[in-house]
Amino acid sequence: MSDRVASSHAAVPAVEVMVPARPASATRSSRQERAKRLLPVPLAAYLASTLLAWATAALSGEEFWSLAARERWDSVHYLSIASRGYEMFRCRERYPKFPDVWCGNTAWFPGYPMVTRVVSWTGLPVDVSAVLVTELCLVAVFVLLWHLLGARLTPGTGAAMALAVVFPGAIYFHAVFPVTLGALGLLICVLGIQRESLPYAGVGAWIAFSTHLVGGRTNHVGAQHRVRVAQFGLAHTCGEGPGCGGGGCDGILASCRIRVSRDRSLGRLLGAPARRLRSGRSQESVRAGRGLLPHPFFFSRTSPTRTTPGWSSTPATPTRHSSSSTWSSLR
Amino acid sequence: MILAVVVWRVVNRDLEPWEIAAVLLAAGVLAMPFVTGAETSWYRNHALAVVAVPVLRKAPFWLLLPLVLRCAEQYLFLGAMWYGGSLV
Repeated sequence: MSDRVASSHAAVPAVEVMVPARPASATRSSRQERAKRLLPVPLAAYLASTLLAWATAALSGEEFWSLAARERWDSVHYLSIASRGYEMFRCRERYPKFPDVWCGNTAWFPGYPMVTRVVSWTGLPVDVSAVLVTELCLVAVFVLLWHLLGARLTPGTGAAMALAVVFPGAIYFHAVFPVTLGALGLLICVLGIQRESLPYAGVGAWIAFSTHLVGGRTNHVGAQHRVRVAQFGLAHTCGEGPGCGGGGCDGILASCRIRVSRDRSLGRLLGAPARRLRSGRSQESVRAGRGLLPHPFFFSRTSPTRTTPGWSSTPATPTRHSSSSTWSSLR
Repeated sequence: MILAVVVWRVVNRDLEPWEIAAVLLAAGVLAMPFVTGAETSWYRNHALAVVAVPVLRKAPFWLLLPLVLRCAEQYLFLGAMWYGGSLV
């Protein structure tokens, strides 16, 4: 008994001496172990994704390591928002040959351009910053996916990561588009739910709905934007305004366009002047116009080919408002 | 595929709440073009359904392998369309 007491007394000072040293070394080693567990597979997935995109570009005759390969369609709008901010103006103020409708880039979500602009404060060009944001977000996406998969390499989790690499539409993960940032926001949201952490989930949801329509659609913000854009009459100008670029009007504006097209159909049916509807003052009819098919009102007003001056070098598609078959054939 | 795995895991009662949330988000992503209209870019939205991939972590390898190969084939086609400028 006395030996036991003596040994316990002897052990106490040793323990007291070791206490301050333990947490630092333990934390460092646990961090290293965690990094070893969390990073290799996501980095390998990112490398595989990049190599696959590179191979696809090479097979398509495109130079992968160039900014031009990363920018298509709406990319020009995100870059314009990142470099000059949002703009909305009457088209005739800048382009006298255009109809008197609204133009601008207010239909595109702000999250991705905001992050791009912040990164560009380091001195990088805006388009390089946009690519950098996309690629860093992609690494983060793979890290979070691996974490959610349990961070243990098994045939199942390895195949799941491979599936994430070749996921349909994953080519957008390397493009100047907010898809990667939006996916990161959704994954942070899911991680927050897993950890039962409201801040995590809230931040993830905020990133998602500030970035992409999918996130915005999950709350009321998207609906509010849609009504606001329709109110300004921007939606029905999309097919002719430079703000549309070459193929851009997705997201909110697409919803707007359909809604206002329905509004026009209803207006014609009820005998309301189309000019009044065009001015965007008839919100009651916008709300009441559900359930009617889009009317080919804009079709006769569009020219066969057109370039959008000052906004995009890609030619606008003339029949997007009216002919879904023509529009779908472009895809 | 994801739906089949979800049903299988629901039957086995091992689907966790965060996985249900991931599945619901993916369902919202897939439903998005039907809500906003056919003119919305489908594949751009569907890429966000990657959030549901962790649900497949308990799926058997032999089930995932054909899916990975099929998706890889589709990736190449979509990639070629992207670089060709026809994928919106």
